[in-house]
Amino acid sequence: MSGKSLASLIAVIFLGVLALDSYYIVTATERAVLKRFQQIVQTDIQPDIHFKVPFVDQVVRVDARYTAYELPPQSYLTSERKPMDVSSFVIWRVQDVQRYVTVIGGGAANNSERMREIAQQRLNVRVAERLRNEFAQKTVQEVVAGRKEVLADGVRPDLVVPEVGDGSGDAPPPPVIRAEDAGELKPSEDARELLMVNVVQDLKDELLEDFGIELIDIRVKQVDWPDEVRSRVFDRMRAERARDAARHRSEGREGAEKIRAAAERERTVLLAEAYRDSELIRGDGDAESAAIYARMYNQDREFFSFYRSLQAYRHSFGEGKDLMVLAPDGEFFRYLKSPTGK
Amino acid sequence: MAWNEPGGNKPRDPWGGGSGGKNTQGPPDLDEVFKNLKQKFTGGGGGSQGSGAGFPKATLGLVAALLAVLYLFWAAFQVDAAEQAVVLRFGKLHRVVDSGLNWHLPPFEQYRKVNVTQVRSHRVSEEMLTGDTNIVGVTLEVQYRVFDPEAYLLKVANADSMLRNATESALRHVAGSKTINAVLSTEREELRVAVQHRLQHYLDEYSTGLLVQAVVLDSTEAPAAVRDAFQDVTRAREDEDRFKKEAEAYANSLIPEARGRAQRLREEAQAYRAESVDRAEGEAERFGKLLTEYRRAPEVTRERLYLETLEAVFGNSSKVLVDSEGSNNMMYLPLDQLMRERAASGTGSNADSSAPRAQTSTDSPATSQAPASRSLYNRQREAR
Repeated sequence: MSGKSLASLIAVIFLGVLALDSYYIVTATERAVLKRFQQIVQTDIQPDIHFKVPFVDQVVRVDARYTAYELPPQSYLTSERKPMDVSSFVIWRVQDVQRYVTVIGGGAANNSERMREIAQQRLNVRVAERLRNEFAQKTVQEVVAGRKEVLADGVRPDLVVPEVGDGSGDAPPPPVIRAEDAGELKPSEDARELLMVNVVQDLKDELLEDFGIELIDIRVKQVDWPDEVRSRVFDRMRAERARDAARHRSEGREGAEKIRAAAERERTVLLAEAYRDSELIRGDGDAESAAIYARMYNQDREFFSFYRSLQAYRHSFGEGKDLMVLAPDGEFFRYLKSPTGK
Repeated sequence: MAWNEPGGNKPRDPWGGGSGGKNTQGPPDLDEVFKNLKQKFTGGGGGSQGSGAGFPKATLGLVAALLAVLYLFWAAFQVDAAEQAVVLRFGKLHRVVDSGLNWHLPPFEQYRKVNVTQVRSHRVSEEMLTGDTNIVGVTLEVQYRVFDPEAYLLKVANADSMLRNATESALRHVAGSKTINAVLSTEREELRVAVQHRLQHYLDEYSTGLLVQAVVLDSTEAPAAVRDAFQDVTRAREDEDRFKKEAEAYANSLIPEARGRAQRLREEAQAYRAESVDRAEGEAERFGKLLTEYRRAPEVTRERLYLETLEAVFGNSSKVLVDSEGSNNMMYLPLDQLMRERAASGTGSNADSSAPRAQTSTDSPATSQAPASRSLYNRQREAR
């Protein structure tokens, strides 16, 4: 083992390491800055192969992808001073790499993961604060449904049970809008969209300025009643349902009564009309027969009287139940006393 | 350090000598190394200028070939039928490759595979607020897959976490826009479609490269705490329906019956009219015929009719003849006794059958029916 060959071996290894450290590749998911003696000499380095001064220059890589950050659930007060449990998420990415590395990674590890954690802590503080402000200006209705009115299923507004409060605030119940009259909200009218847009606009420049972060979107996920209010909401829901059930049953009875009454009316009318018709028809019969009798009997009034009287006698007596006490005179008994009839 | 191999010169083609300067001293270095090694083992103190004099060319070729084969193994990769892969050259997206055997040039190229056909699913089962500030439970499943591997692999840090968050946000947004009844029953399909659209919109906005293939709405139900009350509403609806149906059944039996009775009244009236007219015609005609004969022999006919009638009348009833002329006013008639005797003896059968000239008798059987039919009709009138 000669010293010369050892030296050359070392030289080879040294040159290899030098070669390895004289280039770096930034991948598509990253952006990078180049630091020379802790000073940024090149910023916003795009994905490609790049060269650097070996051992002197230091590459700081930053994950430049869209990232979702979930804010931990928080309790916010609405404009009616009602607490709501809200969870939300933020979509963001690094835009100004230099600022990001300087502010977020300042002095700390130049580790992408670590930087992201710090960035998200900062985001959390800022976003939560803005959301708190926004919520404080919106009613429960607006943050849940995007509108000021309560939706209701075709219920008469006066029947809507007053909304559950948290005990402290006694805001007037919101006006009611029937679900069938409520069209789809345009994003420009939807308080939820507006809330988000407001917060994003508020924070966008600020975050870029302060941290080099681009804010893509903020979305509210949950807006829920705290547990202690939930039970009261359930009470109200039960009351509403009981009301609905009672309404259905009584409307059923109402409908049934109407149907019965209508049927009975129809029956009465049918019979009355039939009675009227039958009386008319009978009258016709009476009139016709009277006319027939009159035409015939008028031919000889006297004989009609005689004939009809005889008929009447025949029908009045002769049932066998009569006892007649008679004086034996009159036409019939003319010959009973004498053969000459005198 | 494989790019220092002779075989490693191949990948230089793509970078067009851009980084050639880095590798110029590679092969000589290596020769040096081998030489030194050989010297170590053989103990021969050969100079470094020998340039492979004591080193067989075959061995060198063999080593080179071996290294080349190793590199080929490194450069080849397989992409499954369900997958696509992106190949990055110097960190930049260079190409998207499909399934099969593919090549890349390490270390200047790297590849990332992603499954683009497998349908992934994310299930949500949560309670949320509706537009009428009620609480409703929704269970749904989002089925999605990667359709843009470039975006999925390179543009987003955690696409699946975005999908989870976006799903929850979209679902709550849509549920908040509807009443609880709409969510529970009438607008479930609209809810499902709206969630899918909104979710896809978010996913596109965040460049996730994900495609929502379906949103399956498993169930929407009232929270357990108030389920009874909701079920009672359902029962109440059924009751409502039942009440009406029962009333309709009643109506359906009532009306036809009434129509029948109405028809009967009319028919009876028609019958009465026909009967009255027919009877009048008959009686009048009969009278007319008799009148004709009467006019031919008035006195005899009159006498005969009179006598026949009285004969029938008296022949059919009990008589007490009292000749009041010259009798005293005080006459005792035990009438009630007489009546009793008559009832017991059972006399008084109709003598019509023994009437010798029935064809001219003034008795008509129809007349005895006329009051009967009238009285029937009157009974009905009183019954109403």
